[in-house]
Amino acid sequence: MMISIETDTEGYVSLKTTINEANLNNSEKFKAELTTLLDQYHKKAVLDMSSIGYMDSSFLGALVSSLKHAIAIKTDILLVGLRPDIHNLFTLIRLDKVFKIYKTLNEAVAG
Amino acid sequence: MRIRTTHKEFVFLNDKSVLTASLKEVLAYVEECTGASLTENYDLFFKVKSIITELLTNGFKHSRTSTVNLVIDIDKHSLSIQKYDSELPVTFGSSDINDGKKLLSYDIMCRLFANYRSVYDVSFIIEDCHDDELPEIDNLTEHFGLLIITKCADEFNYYYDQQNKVNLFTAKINLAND
Repeated sequence: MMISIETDTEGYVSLKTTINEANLNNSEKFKAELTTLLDQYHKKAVLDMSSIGYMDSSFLGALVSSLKHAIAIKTDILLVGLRPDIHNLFTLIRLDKVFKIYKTLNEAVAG
Repeated sequence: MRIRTTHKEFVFLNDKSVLTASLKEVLAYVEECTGASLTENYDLFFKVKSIITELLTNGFKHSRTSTVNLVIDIDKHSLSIQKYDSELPVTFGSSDINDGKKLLSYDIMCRLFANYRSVYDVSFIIEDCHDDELPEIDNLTEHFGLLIITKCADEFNYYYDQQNKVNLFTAKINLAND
C-alpha cells in the first residue's frame, strides 16, 4: 500500500503516503488507491505527503485527477507536510492555487 | 560559482526504474562542473532536477528506444541540457497552428504554446493567466511535463534533425545571475 490510514474522525480522514519517490512508476497505482479511499470514506481527506522526497509530472497528474474525483463526489483533498522541493513544484505550475495546502494536520483541520 | 566549460554525454537505460540513479549522476556532474552546491544554489539545482526528470520521463512514456542520450553543456553563461532519441518526429498537441503558434494546454492558470519556426523547429512559451479567480478543476490539464520544463528553462526548444533522423529537446538555463 502507498497510503496508510492514520485517523478517521467524523469530519475528515487523515491519510499518509508511505513512498519516497512519487513518479511514473507508481502514479497510476497511487491514484487508484486514493480514489478508492475517497469513495470508501466519502469525507474530506487530509493527505500527509512528508514521506515524498521526489515527485514528477506523472504523479502531479495523478493528484489532480484524484482531486477532480474528490470534487465530483463532493469531498476534498487537503495536502500537508510537503517538503520544500515538492512545494516549489506545486508553486511553479501554480497547483498551489488548486490544492489546499497546509503545513500540518492541525492547520488543515482548523483551516 | 567556479564554472568549468564542459561537455558530457550520458547514456541511460530508457527505463523508469533507473530514473533516480540517472538523475543523481547528472546532478553530481553539474555540481562538480559549476562549483555550485545543492544548498547554496538551490534554485539552479531545482531547475536542473526538474528538467532532467521531465525529459527522462517523457522518454519513458513516448520513446520505444532502449536507451536515452542526455548531453550536458556548461559554460560561464549557461547550462544546457539536451535529450535526443532516434524516434519518429514529434507532433505536439492536436490544435491548429495560428500565427505560427499551436496551443498545447489551456486552463485558467496558463497557456502553453508550441511556437513553430518550421515544422521541425519549435520553441515552447507560456502565457500566464490572471490570479483573479480560482481555476475550474475540470478545466485543469493533467499533463505537466512540458509545462514544468518550459517554466524551469530560460529557453526550451525541440528540433528534428532530418539528416540524422533524431529528435532533439534542448533546455537552456542562464547562469549569469545564479
